[in-house]
Amino acid sequence: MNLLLTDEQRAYAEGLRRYLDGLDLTEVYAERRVGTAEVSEAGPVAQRLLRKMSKDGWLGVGWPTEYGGGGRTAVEQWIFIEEMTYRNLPTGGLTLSAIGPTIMRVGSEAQKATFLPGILSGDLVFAIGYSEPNAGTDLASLQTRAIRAGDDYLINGQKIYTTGAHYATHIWLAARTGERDSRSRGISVIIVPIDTPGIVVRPLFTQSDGRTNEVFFSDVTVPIENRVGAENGGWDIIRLMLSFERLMPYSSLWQHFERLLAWADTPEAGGTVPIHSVEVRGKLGRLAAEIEIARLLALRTAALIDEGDLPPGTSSITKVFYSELQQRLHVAAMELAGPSSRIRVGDAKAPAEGAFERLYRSSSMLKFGAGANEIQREIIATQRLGLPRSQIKVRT
Amino acid sequence: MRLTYSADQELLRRISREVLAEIATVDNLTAAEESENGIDPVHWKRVIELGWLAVAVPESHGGSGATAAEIGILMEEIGRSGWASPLFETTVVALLLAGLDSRTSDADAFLRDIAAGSSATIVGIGPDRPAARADNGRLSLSGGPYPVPWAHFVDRHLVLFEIDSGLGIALLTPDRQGISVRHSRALDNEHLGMMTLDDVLLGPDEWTVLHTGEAIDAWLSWYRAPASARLLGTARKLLEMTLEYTKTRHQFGRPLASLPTVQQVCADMAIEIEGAELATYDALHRLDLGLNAAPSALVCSYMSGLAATNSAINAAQLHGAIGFMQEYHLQFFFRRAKAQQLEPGAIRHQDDAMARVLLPAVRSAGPAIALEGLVPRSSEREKRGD
Repeated sequence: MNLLLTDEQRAYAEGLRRYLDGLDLTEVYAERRVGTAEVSEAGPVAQRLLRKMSKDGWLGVGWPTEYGGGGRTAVEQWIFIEEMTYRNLPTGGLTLSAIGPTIMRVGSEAQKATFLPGILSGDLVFAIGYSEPNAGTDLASLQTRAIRAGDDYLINGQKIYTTGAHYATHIWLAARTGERDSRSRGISVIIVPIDTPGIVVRPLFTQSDGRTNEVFFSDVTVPIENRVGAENGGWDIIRLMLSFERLMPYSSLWQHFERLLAWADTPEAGGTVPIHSVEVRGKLGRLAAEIEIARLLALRTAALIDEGDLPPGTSSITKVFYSELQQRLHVAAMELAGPSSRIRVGDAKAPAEGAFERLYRSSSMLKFGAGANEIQREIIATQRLGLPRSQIKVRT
Repeated sequence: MRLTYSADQELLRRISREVLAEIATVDNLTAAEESENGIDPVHWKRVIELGWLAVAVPESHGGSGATAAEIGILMEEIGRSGWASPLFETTVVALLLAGLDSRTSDADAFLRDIAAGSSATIVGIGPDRPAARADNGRLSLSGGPYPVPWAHFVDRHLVLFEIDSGLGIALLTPDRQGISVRHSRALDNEHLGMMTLDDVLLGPDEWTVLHTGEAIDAWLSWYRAPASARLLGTARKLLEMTLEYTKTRHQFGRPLASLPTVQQVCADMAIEIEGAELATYDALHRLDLGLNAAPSALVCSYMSGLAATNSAINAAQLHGAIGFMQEYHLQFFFRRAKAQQLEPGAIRHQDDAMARVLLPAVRSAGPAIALEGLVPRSSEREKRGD
């Protein structure tokens, strides 16, 4: 077993680093300051950066060359995502890493021609329209309907937690085209331009100050050719898209850990340096070790994709370990820094510029988001460890 | 980059697993544990005949000079079997001796003896170790008693001691004046020698010293990474037994393994074990390449300890009463997991030893840490001036 990067992989990483070091990112960082927005959110300045990186040939690392991509390996895609994440820079998100590749596989020729160049250039941004007020983990129960009306679909319903809908150009919508109780057999995926009449986007603010949205559809009309794949075949499209979401970046952990370590190296008001305490040091040592484990797990997923054999549950293991570790890290930062870590971000007296409290507020999201950890553990148990399915009847 | 084991490694795993399955039956483990000195003499003789003690001895000294990764596989299988013998300790002593730049002539000769079937153990692998003071051109070692696996049985003691200039290292015979060993039973099925050193005098050519913290941690990696592999094997066995049991045990008309709560716990065991596996074989690979393995060895040793001890507690809970019975295999692994985890010291000392290596590594790694972890190879190259 060999988990060291090869010379080619390192050369790619060093090239990317040199390129990023040469950019003036002052405005990007001003927009992405820890207190201003969810770090995952791509604001207008970040979008400009992505468009520039696309022109310079750095986006679409893993896209085939025939679609203008880099045609590179999964490990190199991982390197790109980790390097950007470590620097708190946008990655192009699911639009670039999952929706583009899904359109390549199952989109019509017209869809490929219409959407792929715009996705690669950073001009098109998709928001994912899956969750509904009554359909979260059990997505197959979704109710938003798309009814045929001549050459169009007439869409009515509501989506929720539609992150990015307020700056997206399109919604990647899962809607019911089958009978009311058709579950996973009656869903279609439809690309809906955000400026279509009848769409209302309303903000929902999270406990960590970020914005997500609810999106209402009232007699929204889109042409049938905007459907991706077969009618009522949307469940397979959703699963295909999920299969492109296997690279789960972990490296923001080092960024946050370095901030915590810098805090621990700095004398407190009374003059004591936190890291001189054996207890503080031990806690930081454990966190550093666990972040290294998260790195190995994340790298393994990419390397296994390149080896052509990704056993089921591999990325679930990475996701559970990473998401729970980031919460442990943010909880530890609060507990170590004590009452002053309560001072709200934006106040000059807040330790680490308020990052600790802000990140603590955000720390639960990754555990329930992107496939709740309970579901990931069930996947690990049944698909990887071979345990029998639980007898709760899940209809799909 | 390679995420699989080579065909040779798989073969080694299969063969050692087969041999150890015959050796480590519940009856054999029980008989050895209940015996006078804890040794299973028939099978101890057999592993010597199989050449397993010679595995870690360099070819130049009559051994088979296996790679660190291969040794890791053998240690993992030993952990997985629950067998108690000085095989692990002797292997690690061979690795530690081979890993010294300057060896005493006795140590050099003893490497050959290991290849021929001599055994050894280590005193002072953790911070609780003898101290040295100068005595008329000689060193005097005192301290203890220390609980040392198999100290009552082996042919040599590799003694690590505190000295002003760093970490002292000496290889001593058990009959050395000033050494006393009292045999003791243990939490687990390995027997201990409670070893006391009382003014043990060393001549100038009988010991060597590692001066810097960096050199000491690099050298101790030859203990930490194989020890991690052994813990990993213990953890794996605990998970395997739990999967097997919960799949076949029916209650309320269905297998326990179909209960969501049981599945969640098994998934947790698997997550920690897979993390420990990657870290362990990463550290062993770095040792094979001559790279700085100190941070990786500490990371894997921590993670394997966590995986094994948490797996033990979860396995015991999911087995219920049957796992609590002496006649059932599980109890050996429950006891071994904790015993092995604590060998390098109390957890607070292990955490501190880890922090003292990892935190400076984080500070000096730079941006490459995101991709290459605590010791980017680029920074090693800069250090070496390649």
